[in-house]
Amino acid sequence: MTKLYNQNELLSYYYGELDPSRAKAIANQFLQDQALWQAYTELVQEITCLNAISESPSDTSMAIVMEFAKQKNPNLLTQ
Amino acid sequence: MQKISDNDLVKLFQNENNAALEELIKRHKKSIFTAIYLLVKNRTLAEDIFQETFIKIIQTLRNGNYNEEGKFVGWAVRVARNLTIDYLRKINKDVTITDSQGNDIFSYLVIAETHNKEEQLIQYQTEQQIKKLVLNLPEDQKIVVILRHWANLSFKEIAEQTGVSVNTALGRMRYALANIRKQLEENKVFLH
Repeated sequence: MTKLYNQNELLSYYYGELDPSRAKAIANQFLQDQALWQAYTELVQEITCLNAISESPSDTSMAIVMEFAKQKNPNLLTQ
Repeated sequence: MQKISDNDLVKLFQNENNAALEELIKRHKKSIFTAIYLLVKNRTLAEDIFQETFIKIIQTLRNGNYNEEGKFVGWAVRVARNLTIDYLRKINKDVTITDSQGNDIFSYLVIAETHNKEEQLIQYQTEQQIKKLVLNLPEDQKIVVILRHWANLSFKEIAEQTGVSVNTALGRMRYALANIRKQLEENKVFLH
């Protein structure tokens, strides 16, 4: 079995972008390699901290967009 | 409305079903708006670009020019990014808007409700720290983080859009995350 050890691969693994056989090899390796598992959990923590940033558009913006969508002629803008 | 794919919602909207568009926007508005907000660092400007983005999206869908390649969110953020770049080129400077106390408006964040005031304060401070760290990343790292985490583009798509290799895109993301972590540790901000 090819030994994994590449931070880029861990990142790809997290986002589900590895081919299935490689992803399975990595998952198996987590069981055997504590250091690898530690590195992966640290990566997960780093990524999930980004979830603290979450912004929403205002109701006004949503209303403006939906009002535009309702117009029969999309090239007309109303104020 | 039951959960159906983004592309099916697009097709429904193209057949004049406005509820489908509303569902599509509701589904992705936070991701798209957050990506725009992080690009422009200004809430008022982000609102304008959000509106312009979807006006452009609506026009493109109605004209039949949407080719269904890739994810809807990725395409929407790409449209938003191009509008942002056009805007920044016009003004050729960073725009900030301040409130009556002279504080930069973009520094305010919507925070989740908690019952404990102290937890609320800690959460708010953590969010502020993390947002500041992302905004202060080198531009090439920030773009990768925004496109991967909020626009949900694959590293392959990010590489194509930014004109680098997949490995370079991955490397930029890794460096960005390492930079954020290092700064959080130096500032003694603990993640929960």
